[in-house]
Amino acid sequence: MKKRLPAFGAILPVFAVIAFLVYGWTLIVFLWKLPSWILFLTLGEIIVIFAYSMTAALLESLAITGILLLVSIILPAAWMRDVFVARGAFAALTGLGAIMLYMYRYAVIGYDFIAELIPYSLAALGLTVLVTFAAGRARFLIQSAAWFSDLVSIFLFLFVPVSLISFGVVLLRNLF
Amino acid sequence: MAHLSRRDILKLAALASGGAAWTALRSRGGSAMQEQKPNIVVLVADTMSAANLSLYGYERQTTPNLERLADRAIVYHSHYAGGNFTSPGTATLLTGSFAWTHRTVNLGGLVRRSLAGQNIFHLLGPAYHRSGFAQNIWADLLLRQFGDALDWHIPAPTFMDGWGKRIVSHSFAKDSIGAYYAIDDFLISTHPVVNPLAGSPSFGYISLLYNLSHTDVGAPDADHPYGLPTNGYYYFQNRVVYDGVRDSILDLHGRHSPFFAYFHLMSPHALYCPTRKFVDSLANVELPTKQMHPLGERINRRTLLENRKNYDEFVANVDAEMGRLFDSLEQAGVLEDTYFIITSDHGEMFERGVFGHATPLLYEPIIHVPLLVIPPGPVQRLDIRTPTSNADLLPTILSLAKMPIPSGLDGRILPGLGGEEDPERPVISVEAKEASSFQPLARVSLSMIKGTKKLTAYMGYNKSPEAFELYDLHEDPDEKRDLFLQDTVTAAHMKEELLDLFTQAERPFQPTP
Repeated sequence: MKKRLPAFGAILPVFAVIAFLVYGWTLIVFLWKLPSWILFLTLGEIIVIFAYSMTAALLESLAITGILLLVSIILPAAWMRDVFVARGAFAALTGLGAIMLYMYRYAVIGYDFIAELIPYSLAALGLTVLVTFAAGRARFLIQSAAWFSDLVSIFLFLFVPVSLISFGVVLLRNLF
Repeated sequence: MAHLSRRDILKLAALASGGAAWTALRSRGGSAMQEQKPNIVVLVADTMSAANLSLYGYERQTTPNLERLADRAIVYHSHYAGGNFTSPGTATLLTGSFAWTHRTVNLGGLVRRSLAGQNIFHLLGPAYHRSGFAQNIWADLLLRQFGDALDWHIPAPTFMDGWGKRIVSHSFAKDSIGAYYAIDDFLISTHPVVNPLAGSPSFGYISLLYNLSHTDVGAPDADHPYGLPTNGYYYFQNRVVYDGVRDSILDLHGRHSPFFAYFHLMSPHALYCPTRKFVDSLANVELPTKQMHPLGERINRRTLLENRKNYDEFVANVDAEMGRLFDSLEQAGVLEDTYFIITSDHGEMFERGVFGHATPLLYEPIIHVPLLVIPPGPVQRLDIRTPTSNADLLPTILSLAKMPIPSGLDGRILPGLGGEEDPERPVISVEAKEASSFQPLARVSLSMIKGTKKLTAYMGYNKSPEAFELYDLHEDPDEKRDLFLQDTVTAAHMKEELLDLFTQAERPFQPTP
């Protein structure tokens, strides 16, 4: 099993890309909501929301990384494991990007847009598979993935400790 | 062991039987004292406007059952909600204070933290078994805030039919308020109007997939031509909900004495989904022509008429369920020792281009709500016409329960239940959902009813920085003739009084120099 997994050094950059997208989205929406919360929630209550959000972002990032690792286990090594950084990073960028675009469009258009969810999701899945496939083949894309994941890895030094503290806060609030 | 003679055994037996008799007497005395405290049930029908009830003279026969109940009730004809949507309306009812005091002015807001102990559950204390149920999630949030004082908080989804959109925060027993704001209202929220942008992309997306796979849950069926009623999260049938309420009351009545129960039921709040029996069951009634308001919308007359018809049918449906509930409780003997209070948290508008209650306006249909108090045993109908407020329920309930009433409440004991009729007493409703609850209310609508006069103030709005309207509700119940510039003496007095009261209420929130 362990042999089928990519090296830790390859997993971390992909996790960094996923975390960058997920935390980025959560923080932006958090800041968008903040002015309305300030009207009726105390600072302590807003910090609690932040703690839940950071915990959820960590779990979400780990879950998406887990899905990519699962794909890596299932598929032949040459398809995913050996080019995990490039294909994992592009799969995350395209898949999460498509989800984010849909969520944004839903917020703008409203509930009628939910009817588009299934065809949109299938199209997004197809595009993600295509981009992921191409990412392992084109030298430029492999280098771009390595460069970008290296660039955003720095954020892990911020995201992970904040999330671990947040997780502690959530745990304490639900135990006592 | 010492030897006991026959005489010693007889003495011991006499002592033991005397002790047992004393214990029995004490417990009987104790329960006799307990029996002096009546059971109290508050039933809130969310969004029930007095303007659409035949009980109060509406042309359509929407409430034959409430009219029947009124024959044995105290009926309040000028009763007002604390605000024009759930959060302020419910908080006023549960804290006995106006919204400018409890500050639950925002959508889904909480009661001012320093005032949170001033709620009906806490003030009734452990002498009562206290339970609460709210289908409206914002009302349920307030029950969560007062959770420490509740012996039984019936979870909001208890009598539901099926989920449309899941709520997860009630699973976080220790931190359900934090979990609500973080998870239900942020991370997975996909509410198309209030909060469409989920804080978590994947969990939000999964939430949308879940919603999509559950769209058929509330779909129209043979008995529900418009689909099942919903609270925005789950679908329910009023028959099932009212049966659940009946069973809960019977359970409480059988096991706890005295008990206090608060039931906040979603209907007739939108979406208006009456059962087939009530669809097209009411006569056509014309919509009175009224002037549009600069702060109102521009919804066309036909849409207003159509929605009002559906609303009226839904009200008739709710009225039938209430009638059924009371008949079964009467049969079970619950009404013999229980006060029943029926009211609403706010009303609904179908006029001046405005539909619903998401508006800064404070016209009668949106703040004038029903209030019926059905005392235990056979009672003659009593009609009270002086203005009263939902803030009055808390002191009245405390008075009925023979509990001390804290000083400084905005509410007073209701006339007919120990209080005096006072036509000079100002009754206040507040709308300030865009203002900060921690600071002076910068953008606010205020309404003050005194006797038959009503003064409304709209302050801080871009379209209307400061505007006042004055109506004589006796002469002009439809509020068509603004007297502010005609009856200048009354207008000046009432304006001064309202602004004085407002300044006084705002004092704790003014920045310290």
